[in-house]
Amino acid sequence: MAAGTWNDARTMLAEIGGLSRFTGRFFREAFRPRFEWGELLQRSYVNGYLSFPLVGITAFIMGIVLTVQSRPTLARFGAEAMLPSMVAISVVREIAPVITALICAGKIGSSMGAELGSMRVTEQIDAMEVSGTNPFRYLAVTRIWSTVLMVPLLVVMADAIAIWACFIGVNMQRSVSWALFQQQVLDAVVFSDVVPALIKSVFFGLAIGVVGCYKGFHTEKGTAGVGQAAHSAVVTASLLVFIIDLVAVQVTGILGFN
Amino acid sequence: MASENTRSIKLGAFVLVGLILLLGGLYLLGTKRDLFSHTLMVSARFTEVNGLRTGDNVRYAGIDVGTVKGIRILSDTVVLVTMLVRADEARHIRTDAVARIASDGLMGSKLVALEAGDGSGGPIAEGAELHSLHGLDTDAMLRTLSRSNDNLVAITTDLRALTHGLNAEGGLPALFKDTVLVQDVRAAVADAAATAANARDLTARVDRLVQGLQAGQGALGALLADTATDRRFRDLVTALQQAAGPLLHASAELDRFTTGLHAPGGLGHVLVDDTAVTQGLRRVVANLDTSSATLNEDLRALQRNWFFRRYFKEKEKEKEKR
Amino acid sequence: MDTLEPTAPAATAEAVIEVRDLCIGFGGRPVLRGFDLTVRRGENMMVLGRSGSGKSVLIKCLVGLLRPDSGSIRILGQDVLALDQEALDRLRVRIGFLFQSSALYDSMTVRENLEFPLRRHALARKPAERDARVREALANVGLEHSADLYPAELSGGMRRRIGLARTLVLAPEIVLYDEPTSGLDPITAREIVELILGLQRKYRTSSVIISHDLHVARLAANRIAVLIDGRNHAEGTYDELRAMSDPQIQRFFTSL
Repeated sequence: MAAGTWNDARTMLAEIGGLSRFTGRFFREAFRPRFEWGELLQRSYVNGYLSFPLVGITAFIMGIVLTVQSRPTLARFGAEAMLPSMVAISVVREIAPVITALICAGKIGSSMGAELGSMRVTEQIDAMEVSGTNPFRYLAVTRIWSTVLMVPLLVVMADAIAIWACFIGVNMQRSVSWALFQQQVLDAVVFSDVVPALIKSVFFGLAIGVVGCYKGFHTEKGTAGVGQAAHSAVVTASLLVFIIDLVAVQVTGILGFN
Repeated sequence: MASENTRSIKLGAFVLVGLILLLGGLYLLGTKRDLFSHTLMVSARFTEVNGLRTGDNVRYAGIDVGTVKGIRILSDTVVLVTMLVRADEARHIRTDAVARIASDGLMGSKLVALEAGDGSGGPIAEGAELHSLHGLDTDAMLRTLSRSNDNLVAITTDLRALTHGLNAEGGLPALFKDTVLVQDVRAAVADAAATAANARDLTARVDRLVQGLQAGQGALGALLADTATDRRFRDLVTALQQAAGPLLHASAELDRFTTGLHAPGGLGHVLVDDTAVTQGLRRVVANLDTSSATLNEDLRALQRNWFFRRYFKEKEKEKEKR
Repeated sequence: MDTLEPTAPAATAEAVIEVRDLCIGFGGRPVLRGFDLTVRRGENMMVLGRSGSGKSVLIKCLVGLLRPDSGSIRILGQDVLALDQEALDRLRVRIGFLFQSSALYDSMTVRENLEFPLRRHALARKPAERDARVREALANVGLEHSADLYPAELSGGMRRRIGLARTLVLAPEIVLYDEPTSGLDPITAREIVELILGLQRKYRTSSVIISHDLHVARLAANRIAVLIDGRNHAEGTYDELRAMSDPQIQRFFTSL
């Protein structure tokens, strides 16, 4: 029992160490010249553009649901007029970044874990290396960059869509003009809501990319390991998203943005 | 790959839309915070700013015309507040305008309210310093409320003395002989009427504040943080209304009674014969008594309310000093 | 076909691969314990060993995929273990590696698979030049018509050949074959062996062939090194080894 716990703890520590080293290696290689632009474009297309429909639909639903659900509570205080401001602030600060990051952790994390994992077990990564191409730079750096850039972009779009959905949600039971709605949203949201959320999203993207690539690169035990890599990439990335979120709340609090 | 080009175009469009949304949003937020529009900087000195914060609104004639740029303590009693006022609106603000710290609803965020002066000054210029007025509405209100209560206590004491006289043996005839006592009753009635009017006015003011709160103009955060406050406050207002009602009624009855005393036709006799009138007088006095007690209770309720606690503490300190 | 005999290297040919006293172990279990090997230019050197004897580990050490615990590796006059990443990558371009699983990039067509190393090293800048080299490599393995297929659409033997073509497109001086015939039927295996011999003749490449298959040893190898217990147990031509009385070597032949 104790030995099992100790082993679990060791595995976890090894995992954290491995992830940290992988991240460190990414930063060492990320800004070196001879950048793989073509591959970065490819990956950004796959990880960004192709994730958009999923993120967009989720953001739309979240916007409507949040609006409709909050209405009764606010109505009890006679504060229905606060609905747009409240939804906008929650969306910008928390809902859009976290929901987008979780969707990306699921979609991008698993696909990267599986893709790189199968490349690892079928020796494609070795083949790349012996043909004189650094697979870390070609495969990992481009993928991580693509999530670092695309996740914040997706978050911005999720923000816009969720707020627009809130407008629809408000108008389902009451009529509010777009001008008034927009005014209320802009009144409520300030820079110190937007900027920390975007910085947070960059870290979400980094975590998703690093975990997906790390899991893929360290796949073992043949095809069974591929599924394992995809699965644990999703779990670890989602967990990291929440941990980063928690840290972000503390840091923005300390910096006085709350 | 043939589709590589199409992919690049799609990705490009995607990135472009994202960037436009981001930059557009930031620009709109920026105009809201007066980062990009032409503004004038004006300032005002206050003894305290009541929790005003950088970025709070500046309001003129009920319109948001700018934001608070900075708050700096100049000395132990002077706080300098600098404000950015949009140039378009600034044309209409004159140098004799008065700046006041107000709040958006009872529990809303603070703001600087500019009020037009007598119109003697010219339009404000960059760097102008405005006069300031300080003092919180609620403070003034509470002071009045407290004074009303004191008055009420005085009245009831008087009236109680009076009824004692009435109940005493041979009281009523004595009452009519003693013109001083008649004068007393009259004075008490006048006092009661004034107090009731006072209380009514006060209730109306509190009511207005609460209505503002209900309209959702206040800070939602404060409301959500202390929802009980809202409800307690509403209860308080109702109680005050209830107290003021009987008070008014009682003073009206007393008034009628004293008028009757002075009317020609030997009212004194009528009064002695008519026990119903005596009963009436007693009822009036009892009414006034309970009203004053209720009002007293309301004040204590206010004291318990966090919002007004500070005020009462200050009052206690003043008392101790004396 | 008259290419079934491996081409004999010139007697004076210089050594292109020199492995000395190579030691490597995993998790405390030693795999190679002082392995020595010399391969001369134009020679097909075969390393014969049982499964798990460390053959794959050996050639992965040669290209720097694995780092040995001790020993020295010199390839084409360069000390592999002392090279920095950039120099190692330059050396790797001159060494071809055929993986046991072919290791074709699943996400690319056959043509893209072959173009990938060319683009990476800017060896053929003009599309026409690149096209010519791809076509030549595919012609060498007899699969010119499959340029636009994806690896998943190919049979095991075809994949092996495309893998070989991808290795050859860089015109390497040395080719390392990891179990080139494993998992193939005897006829296909024979075809692969013939390809290996044809390439040796055509391009004068040196090769290291890792296998446990004595047919391959007989048909393709100039010399054979027997890897037993992490050491180069014996070395010689097929016939020389067959004549040895060492029971450990004879075990390979009796299993035929």
